[in-house]
Amino acid sequence: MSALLEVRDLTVRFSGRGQVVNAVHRVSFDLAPGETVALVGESGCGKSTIGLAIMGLTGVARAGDLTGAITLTFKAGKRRDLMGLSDRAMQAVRGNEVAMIFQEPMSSLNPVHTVGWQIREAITQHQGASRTAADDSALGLLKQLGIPDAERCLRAYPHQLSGGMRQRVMIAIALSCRPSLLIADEPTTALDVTIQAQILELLKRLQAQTGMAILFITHNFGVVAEIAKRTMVMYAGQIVEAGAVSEVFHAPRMPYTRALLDSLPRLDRAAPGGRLPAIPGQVPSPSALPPGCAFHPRCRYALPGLCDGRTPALEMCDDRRVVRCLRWTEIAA
Amino acid sequence: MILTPRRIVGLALIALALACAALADVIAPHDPLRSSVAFLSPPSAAHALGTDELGRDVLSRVIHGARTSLVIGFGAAVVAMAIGAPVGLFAGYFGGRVDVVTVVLIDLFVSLPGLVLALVITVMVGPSLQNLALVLGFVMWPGVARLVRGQVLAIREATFIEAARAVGGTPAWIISRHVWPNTMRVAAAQFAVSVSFAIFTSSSLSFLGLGIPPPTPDWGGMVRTGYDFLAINPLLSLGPGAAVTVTVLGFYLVGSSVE
Amino acid sequence: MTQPVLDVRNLRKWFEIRRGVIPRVVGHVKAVDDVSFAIQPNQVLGLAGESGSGKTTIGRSLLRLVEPTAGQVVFQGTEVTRLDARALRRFRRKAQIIFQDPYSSLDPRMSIEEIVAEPLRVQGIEPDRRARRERVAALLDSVSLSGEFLRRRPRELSGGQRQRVGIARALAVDPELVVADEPVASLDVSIQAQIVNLLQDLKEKLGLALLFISHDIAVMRHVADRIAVVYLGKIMEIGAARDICEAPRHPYTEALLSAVPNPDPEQRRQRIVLQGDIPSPANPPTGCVFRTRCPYAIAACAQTEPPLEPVGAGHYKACLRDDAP
Repeated sequence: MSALLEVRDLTVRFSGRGQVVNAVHRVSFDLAPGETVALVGESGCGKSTIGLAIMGLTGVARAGDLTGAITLTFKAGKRRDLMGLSDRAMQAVRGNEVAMIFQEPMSSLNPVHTVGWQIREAITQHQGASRTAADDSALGLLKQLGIPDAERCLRAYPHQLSGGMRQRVMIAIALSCRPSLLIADEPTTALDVTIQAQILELLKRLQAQTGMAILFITHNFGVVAEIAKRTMVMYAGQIVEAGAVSEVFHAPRMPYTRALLDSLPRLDRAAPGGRLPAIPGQVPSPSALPPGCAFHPRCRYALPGLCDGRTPALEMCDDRRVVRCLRWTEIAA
Repeated sequence: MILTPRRIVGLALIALALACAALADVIAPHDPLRSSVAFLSPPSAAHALGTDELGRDVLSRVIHGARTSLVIGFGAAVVAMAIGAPVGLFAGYFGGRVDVVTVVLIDLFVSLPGLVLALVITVMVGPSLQNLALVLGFVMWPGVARLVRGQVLAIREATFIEAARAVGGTPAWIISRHVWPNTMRVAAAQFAVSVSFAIFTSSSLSFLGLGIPPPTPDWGGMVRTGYDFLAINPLLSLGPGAAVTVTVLGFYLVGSSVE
Repeated sequence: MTQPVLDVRNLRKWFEIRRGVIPRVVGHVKAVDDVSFAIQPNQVLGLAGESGSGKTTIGRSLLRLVEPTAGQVVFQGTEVTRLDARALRRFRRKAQIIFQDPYSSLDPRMSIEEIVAEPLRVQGIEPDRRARRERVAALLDSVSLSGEFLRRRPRELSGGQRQRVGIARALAVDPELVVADEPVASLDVSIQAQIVNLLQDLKEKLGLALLFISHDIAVMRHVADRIAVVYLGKIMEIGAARDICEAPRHPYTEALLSAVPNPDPEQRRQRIVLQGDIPSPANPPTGCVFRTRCPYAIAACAQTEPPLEPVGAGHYKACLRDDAP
């Protein structure tokens, strides 16, 4: 079975004020139909940019700033490189084939239209349905999402709803045209933890029902373990480790992944009073990356002479498992 | 301050006006008050802009006029700032009844056209250098207060203000150390705009006959008297008129370019 | 039994809701509603809760950054709510706060030195400028910031560095109680551990009592000695951190713990997913405020507000049922 989405050598550069910054540098990955893959990393690592690039929403100014190939298998069967599509053609893709939900539902929802209006708009735009048919679909969608009192919700304005409800509405809009891929960019970061649990549960259920693939972008490793089967860890614009969640989390090969997992305070581990093994230093600014391996100044396995000079490439270390580290074989123990 | 083209032009124009005001005695080719027999003569080598109805060199009068205008302009702006900024700070920071009263006052003043108000008051108190500066300052202070108050309202909610309260800062401390420094930029911009408004309005008042009494060269008044002689030598009005425009523009460009 | 550093009794903070052209009070947002707890010297009490729980308001009320509507706040034997301006200023020397947002809690126009020196100046400590500067440098050193940061401005610093400045500022006056309001929530994951470690080190070295406010129970488990779980302005459960996290006795605590995503893919457990949204504090449910989402709710829960009852040593819960969870 061919991949639903194939990303090859995606590079996104932002230029401004005389500076050129590599937000994303030569990222490649595949997404199978119906699969949930988590893109995890800290702020500034480029994960959100990848989501925007797939949707064609990065807003890069110059032609050379967005390179690579993003090949999508459409619902109808054909395969196209999204990078080569005109804006008009992309409008047909957005919502229909690939949909995106964001962290702040309040800024993605139009405050002057009711929820019903916005869902209906999404449906009529892509499917050309009549108003009544679209209304029925919208109602059905909200019910499917488990929203109580769906009729009243349709008539409400975004500011009258809670954060969790708005996020559900956004999911409803995103799913209204049954896309084959949902890109979720930190959808639960701004939500309370009990509401987050609801939304994650909802997404899992919807995925089982619709068979769509999910690219879940987050900085929270706990959420990754909850929702994804495969994961890609990003640092400074590059993928530094990827593989099955169970393998990556239990036996991380990349020192960054390992250090990050170790530094997380856990409910099920360690008594208070102990110290969390913290990663020294801070995330480098994309405009001032260290030479060689971007993580080496903070890495406890860094070898001077090696890690500060050579840039590591992504290597295959197992079946469907890759790591970007010059010393991974030695550290593996 | 980053020098954008807008700011550079503005600063250059202001510099020009200031130079004229400061160095008028040196750069003016003739004595602005000396009348001569050669009245209403056209532009020549000796008189670049010609002479007025009393035979005085127009160019020299324009250059000296800068002094009057700038004194009034700065004076009025200082008065406006001296009243408006504290009122805005106080009303914005403390809120409550003081704020309600201030807002009503501000709305009242702001809704009246400044020129008309200035006109009415000047008629009552009589025009002089001092009076004009005071009157215009009085007309402008609510605008300054409104701006400062708006800025204070925004800053008041900032966490660093709460932090200052948490360490025991008194309102006086907080206003002087945190609120005012973060408002100054906006206030400084408004100062420049106030200068430009004051010069423009005082010139308008002079044009309407309420300016500095003669023989002091005063741009508005010059435009007015030149008005009668437009057919003979339009430069009698255009000269001072251009001077007003250029000076007002300079201050406005600088003031409005601050975000 | 030593005297607690902080003893809070029946604290209430109700915000008035005004409507109408001539504003009239039409209701109240009951942000904090009858909260009581105590903090012993050199102890960390964690205040855990989600939005609308009132935990931030509790922190602010203790320091009188927000004026409590009712209740007592006794700090080292003195009733804080009735202090006059002068005494309040002296109190502020002993009780400080670290804010959540390292970006807006530092005045952008001041240098780091000025920011950390401000509490010293306001409180009249170290009037000599040179001595003050040395003290500021020592404070920055205690949070692992070198002397070169003295001259810098906040915008030149990273989030983690700014938060360290915030901590240095809070410690400048040598307080005995520090309220940490979500101190790591705005920071990157890899920086959170650094700051958590720093707070623990400082607490130990300086003998501080700490009120640690957070929505992240995992961090709290690591840092706190005792935890109070708050929901809609009321304490649902309070006890030793280990008891709360390993053997919760309140349905909300159980659900909260269950909802925390666990970065261990093998440990899949039965998750309790609460239905519905958090009610608005302007209109809390009658009886037990948690009943609208509680999987164990019975009819009595709508009528009676459950009091805090002991279920173990120093462990209390506010629930009518003894068999839940």
